[in-house]
Amino acid sequence: MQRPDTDSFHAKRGRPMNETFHEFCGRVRIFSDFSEPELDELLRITNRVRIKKGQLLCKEGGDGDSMFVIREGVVRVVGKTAMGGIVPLARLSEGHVVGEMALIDESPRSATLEAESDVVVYTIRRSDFQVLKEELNPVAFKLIRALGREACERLRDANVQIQHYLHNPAELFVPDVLSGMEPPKETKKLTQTFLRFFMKN
Amino acid sequence: MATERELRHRDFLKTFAVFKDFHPNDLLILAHHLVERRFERNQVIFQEGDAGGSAYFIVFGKVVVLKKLPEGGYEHLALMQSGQLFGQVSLVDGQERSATCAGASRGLLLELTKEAFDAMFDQKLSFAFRFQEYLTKGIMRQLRHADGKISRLVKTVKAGRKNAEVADLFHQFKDAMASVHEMGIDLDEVDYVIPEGQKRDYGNQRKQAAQAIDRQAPAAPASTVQTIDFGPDFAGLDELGDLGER
Repeated sequence: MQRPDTDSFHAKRGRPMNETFHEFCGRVRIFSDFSEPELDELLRITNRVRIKKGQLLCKEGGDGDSMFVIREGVVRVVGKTAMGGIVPLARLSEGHVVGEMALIDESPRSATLEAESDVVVYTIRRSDFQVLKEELNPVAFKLIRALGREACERLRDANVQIQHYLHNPAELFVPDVLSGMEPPKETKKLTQTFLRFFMKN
Repeated sequence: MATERELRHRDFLKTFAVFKDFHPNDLLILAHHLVERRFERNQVIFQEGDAGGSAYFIVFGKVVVLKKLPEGGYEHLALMQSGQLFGQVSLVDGQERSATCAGASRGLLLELTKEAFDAMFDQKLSFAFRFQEYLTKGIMRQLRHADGKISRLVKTVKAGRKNAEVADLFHQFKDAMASVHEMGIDLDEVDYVIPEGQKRDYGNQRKQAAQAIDRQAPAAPASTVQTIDFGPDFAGLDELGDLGER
């Protein structure tokens, strides 16, 4: 869910005035290899929705039936802490794709999305995607493939992040927790076992 | 007309819970493309950093997933067994391997190459669509699982409870490990128990299908085999369920 701000989208700045849906999609990674006619098909099942600052796009644990592509504004991904508090997990801006699991999976939303500013999003509903899929429409094939690649990339990023924490436990601990424990190799092994345990429970 | 070989592959695929909704004729399309590959214990199937490509169904035997450690040696990430699929991330995105997979016993795989996968997809077969959808779903589920791990860490840190709460848990954990040690148990020596728990009663059916493939599959070609010594330590491995269901 958390995306580092390295989206290829951001590399290409300078949004033209009155950019069309097609021009916009050309700058969104998952749609970047869609042809004009394919984007026409996609537009057929896309809705444009305005969301006021502070409103929720979806709620953690709620039913997910749409994928969102942020056209304008900033969306905050928030999670609940064990104590019932709210913590921001990520901020998503123009060009980010979020909630795409809803297109192929009926499991509940894994995080809450809140509009940090007034936001415009494109939404694609699972039921509409299903229709394209049943028609064996090439756009459905292209989209499922793009979603697969996107999921792979995000999974690779997430695994890198987990490995980073496992190998740099000091970033998560205050120094005195680890001090006085010798030898260092044993300590590292113990902290890694602990972190794995901690992430699971 | 389906060949005997395709039928054997199909009968094995049928024992995957995820294929239960697929028509047997559709599974024959996939069965046709699968290539039998034998492996030995310690044999490298693919290595971290290799160019991406195939995914593999495990017919029988065990496969260990390893990650190189910066200080040398390998960390064991997972142990997989008959009825599981691995390598599907590179199959879908074509990027390089993020981990090493090696035989933890001798065994047999059915390999689906990227070329075969892409060809099925390019023909716009509805089966190919559903298979891609199923792979994507599995990868998204793994992603959700990984994100859950990260957010648990990040939430703790961001909530400013990094010091007190994590330190407290860590000390409890350390004490628990010390008592385990006092009892004379070396956790590294505890063999991981592989759950038999296939939800449906596929156990015997899968075994028979696997044996049928084993009887007919050719011996491994006498080529140079790359091996890896990952040690006997299997403690701490995640057990994976059918594709991404952990």
